[in-house]
Amino acid sequence: MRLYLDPSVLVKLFKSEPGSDTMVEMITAIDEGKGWAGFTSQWSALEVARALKKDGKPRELILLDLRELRRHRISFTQIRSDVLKVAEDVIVEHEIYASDALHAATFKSLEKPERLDAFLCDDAHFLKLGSILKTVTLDEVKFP
Amino acid sequence: MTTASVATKLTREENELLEKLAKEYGFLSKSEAIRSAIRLYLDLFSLEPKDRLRMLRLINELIAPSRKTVSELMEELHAEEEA
Repeated sequence: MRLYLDPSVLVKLFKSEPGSDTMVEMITAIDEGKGWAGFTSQWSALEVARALKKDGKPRELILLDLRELRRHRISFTQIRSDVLKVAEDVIVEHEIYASDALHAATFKSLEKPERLDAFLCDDAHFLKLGSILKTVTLDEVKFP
Repeated sequence: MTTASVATKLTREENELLEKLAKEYGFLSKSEAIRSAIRLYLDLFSLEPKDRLRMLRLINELIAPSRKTVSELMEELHAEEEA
């Protein structure tokens, strides 16, 4: 599968809760290739950092976690002006947060050129975008 | 095995935390605690990616355990955004 990884699933790499083991398996599969690929926005690193900060993690640990995140074969997509324009349109058309709109717009920008299968998230807000995003949750991802 | 000595400066808060951790985890001294921490850090990066991810998650839980779920954290982020 070729997936867009929302911060709501990336943060699971650094916490123990349902779905955390699946995320480790998935990142390993992405590292190994074999039909798996992972994409996200550069903005995701900021959201992961802020979530870890809110979770009480100390500075050094957050830096270590972010460094680890970048050591894998996840593509961190640049925030371009055309993507921001699409994000604006998403906000105007839907009841959604700005950061979520940016992820939705980044996914749309990658969907065809990178042949993405779905938007992987654990955030109920994205259900509002069911008409424009094909979302999947960790429970729905199947490994061979 | 040849050895080398490396001196380092810590803030008062770091020193207090180190003393507390050394006592809590039964290290012989603060130096021993620092040696172990450095070896753990170096070993972490020599691990296979999958093991490294698992070990890092464990370190996160040990150093700063939290009862907040990722969903709750994401909601807090959204609340900040709204504010």
